[in-house]
Amino acid sequence: MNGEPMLNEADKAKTGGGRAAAEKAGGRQPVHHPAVEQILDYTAGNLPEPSALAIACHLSFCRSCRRQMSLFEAAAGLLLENRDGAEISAGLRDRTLEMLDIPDAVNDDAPAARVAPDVPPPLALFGIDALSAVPWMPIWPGIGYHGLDVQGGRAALIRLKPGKTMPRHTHTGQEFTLVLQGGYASCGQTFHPGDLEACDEETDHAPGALAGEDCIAMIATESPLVLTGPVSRWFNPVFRF
Amino acid sequence: MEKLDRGAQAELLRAVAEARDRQAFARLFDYFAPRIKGYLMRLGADDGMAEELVQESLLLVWRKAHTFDPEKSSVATWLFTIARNRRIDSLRRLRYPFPDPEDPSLHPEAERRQDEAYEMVQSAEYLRRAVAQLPAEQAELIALAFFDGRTHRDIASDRNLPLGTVKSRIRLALNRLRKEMAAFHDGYHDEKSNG
Ligand SMILES: [Zn+2]
Repeated sequence: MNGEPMLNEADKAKTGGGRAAAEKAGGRQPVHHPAVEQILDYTAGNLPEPSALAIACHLSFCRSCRRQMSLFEAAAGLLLENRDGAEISAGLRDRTLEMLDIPDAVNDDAPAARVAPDVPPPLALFGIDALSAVPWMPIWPGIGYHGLDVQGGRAALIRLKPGKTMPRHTHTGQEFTLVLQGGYASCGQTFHPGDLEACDEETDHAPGALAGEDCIAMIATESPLVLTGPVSRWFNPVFRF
Repeated sequence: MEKLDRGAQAELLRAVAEARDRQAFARLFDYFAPRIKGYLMRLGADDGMAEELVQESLLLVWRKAHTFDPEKSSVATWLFTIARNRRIDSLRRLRYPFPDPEDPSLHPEAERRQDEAYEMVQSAEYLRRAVAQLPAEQAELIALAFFDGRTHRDIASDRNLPLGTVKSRIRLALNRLRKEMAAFHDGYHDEKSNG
């Protein structure tokens, strides 16, 4: 879950391995990735909305995870070809042929929304088009909060002033944190834009923003947070995001 | 079921894109519609819903044929991702974002060049062989995820397998696919050269 995704030696030779090379090549690549099985769950379309959003945003930063995704898709496409199909009703083909030239016969996917370069495109689906325009709600000195309207869990953007620490909390299920701006330290590791931290029920952590600029991160969880620190009785009512 | 090899599929799709060839479209329909319908029904769509989504997916094939890049994927994989996205869109009514293959920001020039060899390999017959050679228990995991809608946790509990076993099989499957491609890219098999 942390550190390099599984790269074999040949891949490493080609990419130069991780962050240093990516930086040399002009763009920093994330160093903290979702686990392979989470990429499979995502690619097959089996995740609840909050986790899918977190992984989709990470993918928009991460070449290496996009490659894993396309490998799984390629394998699925090939496996699909070898499976038995289901019989198609008489007439479906002709009806489809007749519809080919009707412009509105099928709703095309919405054209890609325009977003600022600091926003991963999937966030546009949830009304975020620039980090500078997020309507922050102050929930604690130095901490801003903006809930995202997701089904099947909770997701929110959090803004921490430099050096500010998130309230200590645990989770009853999977929680993803994806850095969008600045960085934070958690459990002895640092996280920068594009990095995805995956925590489960065993983690009791209190991420602290690094010095420098504000840290903005997206948090996605399939269940509510459980606050464990002394401020929890203040936070729990507001923080049920 | 009729066999249509990968080269023939790509040719038909090209005819659709360039000549708006209805005959070619009809052949792609005949080949893929039953497979996609099978996929959708397996995931719980009823007959009517499955056919509606098949029709929408194939109409998108007609509309988007020009965006298909044979260097990047097989027709089967491309069509599969269209059907998957369509299903998630219409059936679950969730916002489940996938990377937009047409988003230029995901393909900066440097990345394209770097990925070129990779993508060619992906489209090669090579990958087909790699998938065919996956151990059954690994191929099954991929099939359960994509065709039965099971997460890795579901699979572990369905099969009474430790979670760690499921994770390591997924890892092994991916590593094997990746290794085949790396070997192809470098023009040799590490296994062979390592003796
Ligand atoms: Zn990644």
